[in-house]
Amino acid sequence: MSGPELSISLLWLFLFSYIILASIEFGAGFLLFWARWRKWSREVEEVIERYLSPFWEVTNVFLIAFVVGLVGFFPQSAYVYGTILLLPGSIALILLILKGTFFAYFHYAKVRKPLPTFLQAITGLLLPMVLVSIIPVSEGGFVTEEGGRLVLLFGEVLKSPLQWSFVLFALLSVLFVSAVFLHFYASRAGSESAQAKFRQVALNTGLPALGAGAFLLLPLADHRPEHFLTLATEYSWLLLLSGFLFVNAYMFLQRGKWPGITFVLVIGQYAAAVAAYGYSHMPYLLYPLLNINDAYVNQTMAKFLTWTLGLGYLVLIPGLLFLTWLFLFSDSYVKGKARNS
Amino acid sequence: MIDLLFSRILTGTTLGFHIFFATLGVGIPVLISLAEFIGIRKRDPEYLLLAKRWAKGFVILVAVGVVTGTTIGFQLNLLWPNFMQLAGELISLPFMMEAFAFFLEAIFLGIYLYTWGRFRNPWVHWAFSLPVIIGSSMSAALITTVNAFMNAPAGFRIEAGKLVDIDPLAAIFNPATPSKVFHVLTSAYFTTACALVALTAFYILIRKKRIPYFKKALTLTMSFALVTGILTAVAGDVSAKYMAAYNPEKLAAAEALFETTEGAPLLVGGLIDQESQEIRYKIELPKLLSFLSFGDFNAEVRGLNAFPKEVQPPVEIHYLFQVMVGAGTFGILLSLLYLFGIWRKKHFPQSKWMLALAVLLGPIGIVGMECGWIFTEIGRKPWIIYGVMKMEDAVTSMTGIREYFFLFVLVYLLIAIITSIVMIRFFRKRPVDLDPEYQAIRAHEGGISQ
Repeated sequence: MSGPELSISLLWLFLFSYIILASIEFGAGFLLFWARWRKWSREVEEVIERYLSPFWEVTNVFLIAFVVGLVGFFPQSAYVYGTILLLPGSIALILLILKGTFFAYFHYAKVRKPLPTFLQAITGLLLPMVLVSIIPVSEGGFVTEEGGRLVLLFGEVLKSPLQWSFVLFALLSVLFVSAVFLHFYASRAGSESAQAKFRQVALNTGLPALGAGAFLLLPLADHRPEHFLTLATEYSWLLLLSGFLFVNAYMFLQRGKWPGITFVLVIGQYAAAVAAYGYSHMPYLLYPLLNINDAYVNQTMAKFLTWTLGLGYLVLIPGLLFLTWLFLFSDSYVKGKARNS
Repeated sequence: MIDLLFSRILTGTTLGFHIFFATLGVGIPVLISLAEFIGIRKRDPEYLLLAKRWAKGFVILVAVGVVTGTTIGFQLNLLWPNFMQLAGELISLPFMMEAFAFFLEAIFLGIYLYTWGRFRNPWVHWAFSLPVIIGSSMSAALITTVNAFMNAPAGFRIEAGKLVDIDPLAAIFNPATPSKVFHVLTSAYFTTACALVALTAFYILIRKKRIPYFKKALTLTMSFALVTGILTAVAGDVSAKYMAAYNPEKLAAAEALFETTEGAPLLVGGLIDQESQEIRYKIELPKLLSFLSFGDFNAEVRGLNAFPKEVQPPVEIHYLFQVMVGAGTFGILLSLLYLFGIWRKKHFPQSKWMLALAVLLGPIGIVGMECGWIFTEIGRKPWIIYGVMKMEDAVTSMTGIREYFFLFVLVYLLIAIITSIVMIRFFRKRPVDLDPEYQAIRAHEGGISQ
């Protein structure tokens, strides 16, 4: 593996962790609202709250770590993406600000009125829809050069079927992944009513999410055929693996069995799909303007950054395991018996 | 040009907004940890309650701080893409390390906040505050090294337009780093102490009852303010000596010194008339500037006119500098007075005027801290990286930044207003005397005295 490939793979770990954790967070925020709207039992809300409160900050750090790493390893991407993403990036930022602060009001300041609850739910669904539009942009064709300056044709992005298939996929995936996780968490907490509700949501969103994911291939084949070809030939085994994991997860969901394994399978399903998409996209960060080899940072900095990343993981992984052990696998916490306020 | 101007204003606004939450985010964990330490040590549950109640407010501020921090991280890319590309090549290491310091803080903050009373040995829970402090102070220190790099770039050379001899460690430990990190950390602790002094004093003022809980809180925060205030002053002195050696035009502007002078006086206050280069209504402390800059009363301090017009920082930063120094001095004197009163068992530390001054210390401390940041940032003008990259070469090629500015200001205002309302309501609904834990402490003590 070359330097740039190693770096992008390490960064991919951050990005993928963020995708999973953020999906859970965004989906849970929406389900919180939905549970109140449909007058589900209080248990549903309690399960969501108990997970989100200690994990929220960690989720956000993954996003920051990814962006920082991208700028460090591929400084040119800071220039290119920084320039073209001014408008969509600012929209995403504003949503991020609103989502984060309303989250804090809800969970830490106990503001439980209907309007703020709705706002944290809706911003949590809009945010992944905006963030995901970076992917169609990275496929190329939406950026032109005018008098030496890069310009994003944002109107074209909004008109593109590729964009809207990604938006739909992101929306459904967020709901599916969070429901599968909360199904598992509710089972750990021994809350049967909550478990049943989350299972229902997972069953309702699972197939549409898979369908939306498969449907992505069509507009992609139209928009950038060679990417589609690589994906459908060289990396088809990863897509098949992803589908296989999904089928098993879905079967377990239907029978309501092994919620923990189901969640692991769903993570695997998304990991395989995202890896297939990402590797077939290589070496481009933004087709055709930006590729990982040309955008790579100088050798000295690359070496330092890789070492820092390696040492950082050594600190991060035990820390995360400890956190998970305390809040995910400790019965007294998960079941709400520990004296917490 | 208008886009450059609004890029600067927007970045400044975001930073100014973020630095409020970031500063408190660095300082409050130290005070929480200190209160819990005293509580366990003295077996005084009121200090533990203090730590818990601070933590409840703290977590709201941290969440907003995370959000504004993410905003500034992204916005630097969006508004200054050329700068970030160069920064990626030269100074991305502390950014990366900061992310891990941030992870440390985030992980252990979750653990600290949600494991009160979960361990039989109270020191275990207290120990979890340490990685939070290390994480938050480390990330502040690391991000400050980037700011220091912008003021005193090091660890590379430019040869024929190419970057050579890149040394990431030399870039981190650039000449500005020691003084800057020292000053930023101490002033963050100090500003936080000021804010919590003010908050406590405010509570004592609005309720007539003087309960010991608040007295303990006030004495603790005042003591912390005094110690960190003095350290901040020392750090400020180190920073001034750094400026004198490496960035003399900034020092000249900060002190509104136009002509190069031997045995230069320290200027306090004063109105600057730029046309005639005269300063009115001034107080001068003879030879003190020379002494503070170089440790020699007769040393020569270079004035603004000694530098070419196009690299002179705006002399108005003198006012910002004065406000910063004034705020620090006020905090040190006030906490000294308060603690003297407590030591001599006088009545005035609990008097109305003393408490009113203590309430004032909150806004004064925060304004001083903000002025310090604006001072150091504007004082680098026209450079974004001193001597290497000018602001106009760093800014985005996009236009219409003014509209973005208004949009973001609107959002920040909204967040500022709602966050204040939410926090006021949260604590108004949960006053300390209605806190079940506080009532348990009181009932317990009442039982003993009977």
